[in-house]
Amino acid sequence: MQEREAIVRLKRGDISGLDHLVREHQVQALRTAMLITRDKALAEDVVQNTFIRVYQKIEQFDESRPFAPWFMRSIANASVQASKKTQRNLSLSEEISDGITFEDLLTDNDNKPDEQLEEKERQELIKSALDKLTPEQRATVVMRYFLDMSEQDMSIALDTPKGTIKWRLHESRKRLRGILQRVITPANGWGG
Amino acid sequence: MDKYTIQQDLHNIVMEEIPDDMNILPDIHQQVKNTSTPWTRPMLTISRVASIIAIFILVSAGGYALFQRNLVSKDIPQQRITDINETQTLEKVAVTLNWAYGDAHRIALAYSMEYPRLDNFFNYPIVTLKTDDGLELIPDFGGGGGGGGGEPDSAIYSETIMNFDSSTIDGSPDTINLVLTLDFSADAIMSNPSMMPMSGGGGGGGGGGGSSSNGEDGNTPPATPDVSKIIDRVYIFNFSLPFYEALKVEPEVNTVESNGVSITIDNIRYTPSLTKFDMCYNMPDDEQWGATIQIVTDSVDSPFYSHQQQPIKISDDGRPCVEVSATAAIPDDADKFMIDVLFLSQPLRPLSDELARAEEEYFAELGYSIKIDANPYGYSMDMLNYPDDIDASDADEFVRASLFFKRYEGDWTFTIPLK
Repeated sequence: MQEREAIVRLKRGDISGLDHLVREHQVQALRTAMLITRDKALAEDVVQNTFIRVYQKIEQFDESRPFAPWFMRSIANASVQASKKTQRNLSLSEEISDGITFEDLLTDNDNKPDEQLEEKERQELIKSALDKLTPEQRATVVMRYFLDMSEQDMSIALDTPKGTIKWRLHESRKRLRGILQRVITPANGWGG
Repeated sequence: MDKYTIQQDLHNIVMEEIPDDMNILPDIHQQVKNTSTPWTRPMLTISRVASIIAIFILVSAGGYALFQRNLVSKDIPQQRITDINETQTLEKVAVTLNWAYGDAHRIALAYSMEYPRLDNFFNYPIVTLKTDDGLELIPDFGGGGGGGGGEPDSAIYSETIMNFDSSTIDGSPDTINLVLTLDFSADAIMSNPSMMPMSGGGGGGGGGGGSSSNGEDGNTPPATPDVSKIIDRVYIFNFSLPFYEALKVEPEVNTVESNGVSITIDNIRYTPSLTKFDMCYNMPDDEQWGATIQIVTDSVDSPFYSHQQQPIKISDDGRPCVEVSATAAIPDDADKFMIDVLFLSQPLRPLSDELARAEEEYFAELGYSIKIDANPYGYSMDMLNYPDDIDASDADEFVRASLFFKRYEGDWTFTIPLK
């Protein structure tokens, strides 16, 4: 079954159309929601509810257009809204894992050259940096760097002026750069 | 750390928490069952046409993918297809541009790939098609492909048909020079996460569907790419095609009334593979009904096309008009073709067990044994048996296209002379 056929089936009430869309897009959607909400249970709720809304609103969707960009925009937007309701932003001193705090990570890495940073360590740093951002800022980072969306698409997805998106990206990059300054080189880092 | 590393880290971070095989489908099914109906519509008279048994291929130039080795498009006149069969091999991966076809509505082409099982090769190219003066043609949503790897040590073979909208090409040149690029580089892989083999779809290690189709060929879920090890393979094919212009043609009679509904067809633009036209009609209940049409010549019957899209304009007499695109390989020697509007249709709602049993009985009379599990929200259907003279996929398509639909019948036939 192709995606267009799945959508047409879904418009007819045929659940096999929804099944196809879920199978094709659930993992990417869950990962997007997880990165934005930073909460697995919340991410699952967001994705489930968004798929249900897809069915409820599928009549409005033009099946000649690709589904994934439209759907991922919905996931990102719903993730931001869900995160704002639960507001999960770590404090500076909150424990991240195994007794390591955000401040500890910064301190630990101050003396470590880039090449010596282990992959796992680097990922922990990024993870904790994400936790420090607001949901909107996380969404901009995830949409830009995980989903590789353009600023124009992000503006549409978040129903936010392009200038605000640029500002959020700038702020997010600035905050992340501050955290990751030991591992990102200025030449090829967060310019995009 | 560069942008790719950041992307890779984001993927790795979230992969630990959301593995490739995570499946929330059962939870969604449960939620669907617990959700009330989203909308209902009034029921009108139901009439059925038992004689119509066919595959319904839905909407415009996209729904014509077939999966078989040496893919062909049945909706293109075969004598107008240009065989190219040019193969380029880079680092053990052979890509062949098999054939192409071009007219003022679409460019269609097929490429195939053959390669041994390789680590860090991902069959998700960025495909671009440009004219030789740099105009990029946008892929139509349709297309298709397939393939498979067979035994673990055997080579992987896949084939893909892609379609591109050519309506942006100016004028009506006799031939058109095109440049096809298939980019398998790390940049291409990482610049299009939706193509990345991280959603558990086909492709990759199993060699499944092409770029337009996420294969459901039972392939092994591919690994996440290690971009640092991807070899930059970029294939560029320069080729020329005959280009067939779109001809405006007029029906003998452009308005036909039947069963109280008047249908007008105009603005017919015809190429050898795809016909577009505007169709205006208004139903007695003022509701929006879809139309199922077929293009017919003396020797060829196209598939049925069911159109449910939104109107594009309102006619001078106030009727909503939809734009219809129907692929049909009209023979060179045809002196006319017909557009048959077979029936108008609208979904039957609300769904219920009672309606499901009625539909089961109706299809049983046609020779189809089906089991429907319906709730106010949607339904699932299992095919238990079907007539001997139809294959399984056609039977499934026919039932799904007809299930829970009411029909408004009439006899609307438009004859379009070509010479």
